[in-house]
Amino acid sequence: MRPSTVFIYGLGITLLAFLSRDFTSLLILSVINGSIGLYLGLRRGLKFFILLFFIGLIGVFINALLFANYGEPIIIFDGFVLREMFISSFILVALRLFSILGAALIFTSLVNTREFIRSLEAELYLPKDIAFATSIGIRMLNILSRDSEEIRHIRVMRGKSRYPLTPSSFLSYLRPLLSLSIERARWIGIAAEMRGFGRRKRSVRKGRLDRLDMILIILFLIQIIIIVAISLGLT
Amino acid sequence: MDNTRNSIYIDIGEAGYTGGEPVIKNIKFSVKRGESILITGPSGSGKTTLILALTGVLNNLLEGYVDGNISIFGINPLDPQEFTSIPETIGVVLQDPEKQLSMSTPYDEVAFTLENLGYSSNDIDRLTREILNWMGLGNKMFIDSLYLSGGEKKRLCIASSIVHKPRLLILDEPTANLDPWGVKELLEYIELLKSRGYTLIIVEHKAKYFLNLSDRILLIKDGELKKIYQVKNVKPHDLENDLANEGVDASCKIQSKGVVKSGGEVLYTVDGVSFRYSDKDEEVISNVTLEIYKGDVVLFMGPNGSGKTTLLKLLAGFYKPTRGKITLHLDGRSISLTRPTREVFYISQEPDYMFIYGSVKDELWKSGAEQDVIRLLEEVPWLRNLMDESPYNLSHGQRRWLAYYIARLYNPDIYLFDEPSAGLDLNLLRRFLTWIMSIREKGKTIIIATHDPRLLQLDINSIFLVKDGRVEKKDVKDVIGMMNQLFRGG
Repeated sequence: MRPSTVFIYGLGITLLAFLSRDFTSLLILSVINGSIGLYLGLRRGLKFFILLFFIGLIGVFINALLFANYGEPIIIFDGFVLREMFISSFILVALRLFSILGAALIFTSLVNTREFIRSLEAELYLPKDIAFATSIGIRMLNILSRDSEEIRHIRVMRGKSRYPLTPSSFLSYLRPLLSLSIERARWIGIAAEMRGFGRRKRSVRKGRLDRLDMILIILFLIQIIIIVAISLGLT
Repeated sequence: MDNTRNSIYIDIGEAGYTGGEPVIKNIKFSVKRGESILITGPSGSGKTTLILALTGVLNNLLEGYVDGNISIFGINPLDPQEFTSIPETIGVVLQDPEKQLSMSTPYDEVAFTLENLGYSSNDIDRLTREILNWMGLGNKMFIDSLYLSGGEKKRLCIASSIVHKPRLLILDEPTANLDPWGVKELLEYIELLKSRGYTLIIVEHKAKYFLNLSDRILLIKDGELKKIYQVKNVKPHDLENDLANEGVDASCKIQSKGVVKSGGEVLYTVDGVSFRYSDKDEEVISNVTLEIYKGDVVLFMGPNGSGKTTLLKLLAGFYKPTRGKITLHLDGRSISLTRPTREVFYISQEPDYMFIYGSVKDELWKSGAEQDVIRLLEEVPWLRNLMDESPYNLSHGQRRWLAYYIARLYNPDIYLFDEPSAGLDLNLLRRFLTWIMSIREKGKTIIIATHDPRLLQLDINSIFLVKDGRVEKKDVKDVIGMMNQLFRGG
């Protein structure tokens, strides 16, 4: 499979998720991509993405509560009122996030770093520095996942919540992750330069689409057709 | 001219990361083709900066400066144009493989170097397979590099730095984070490289491993070249003593006070404990049964990847055993340990994981009682000048000590240390050992997971050997015998 096919697929699904405004389209996107992504991602141990999804969901909840909590009351709980627009906007954004999570998991599970660099350079004509930085960023997600588990343990031991629930705890969670990642990225860059990255020429290759590329392209086209049909009211 | 092309000349007046703040100065030496040079000195003496300066990384990539002249087989790495030719001539292996490896598999890692240097696909495949087989990684070519052991990662770094047959190989702290078994294996490969005619520059504070491999030893102290030893002209004993006096770890002799009898009550009961990570099929810890006594110093020793850290995390309550039970007996209570408790403090090998606040001040004041923080600041004056700094702006050594001081402020009954001596030179190690013994005198229990035989200098109550997830109680003499056998003649 060509990494650029998976890259375009992931990018395409993300765009579709952002452009889709109705429940059915987002449900279809999230069911297809979420289920494939979770299947592949969990096999590769990419739990960190799922953690990021839930952290994102907290943000979506707070955002919907502050800016979209109007309309008919739907849930009244101990004086706390959740209204019609809150429910619908929370569900729509959560489905959108879940589709993107699925696309990210499909991409990260199927793509090999070196192949991805070559693919971005040769097929999408991206400069080598951008191709390398993008690939390494994706590769580092696996390492971030390990860091995040260590940080969670230490937080609990030091009397903090396991998961960041407030802006300040989110910052305390993010700080070590960023600090470690920046240092790692700096040295990986130096190591790559010492291995001739500065002299690297764009790789030229004439790859053909294989069966897996075709399956992914067809899956993408099916989703586009369904969503266009729904938005035009053809279903 | 021919002489220039066959030698390395280094003449650095000053070099550093910020103008006017030199880290190294007055360093002048040359290296002949095929020679092996060991650059040694205490932590913070400027060894790594010297490597960054002589490869041209300091001025070309890190925005630092180098005043002087350098010629590596006729190439001037300080010149931005010539710097691009440096990777063909030099292979550089950095200290931490985690910060060097960037590809998904060992095959890709090695192929990446060749691809950068413009080799054809056929040559990339042939040379990559050849070098990985030669470095003993042939059967792990296509697994995720994250699953390699510390020793394997180091060998992979070497493989990806020499696959294109550079004339000079530079190794920065090659034994860092390696267990004695990994070190021995690595030394055999470095010896092979030497026999193949590679010019080697090795930077290492554990000079003891490289005394026999080096033709010359350069001692760097306070950023300056203090002495050059011609190894064949110095008696080994004199060399060891001289280097040890300069704070360099030069002796392979393992010191130990033997085992001190434990007198306390039972603190931990580990009963038939096994543990398996949810995404793995094999058990990391297998059917471990042991007891740890209150006030003891306990070592869990074993190779990288043997399960020491996992065992320590089980004792911290970070993980719940898959089978069996860990019971903590404290103040007449018995707690089945399945989550962290305030009586146990785990100190990670990576200090950055330990911090949760934005400044040193918050880290200290929010970790302990006021009088304890005041006492600590009186004892450790350098902390006072860094109170408003983010912990992440401190040096690695300072971050590590800050993590220890945070642990102390939490005032736990049990300290769990994961590889606490990694990266410590002789002087820092002595300081750490003194600190450990001062905690012990307060009746605290200290449990250390390590592969470093230097920690046998502690007053130890028990040693457990951890191998392939199994734990066996050992006598100190047996452990010392095992280590000595490993490096006999080395």
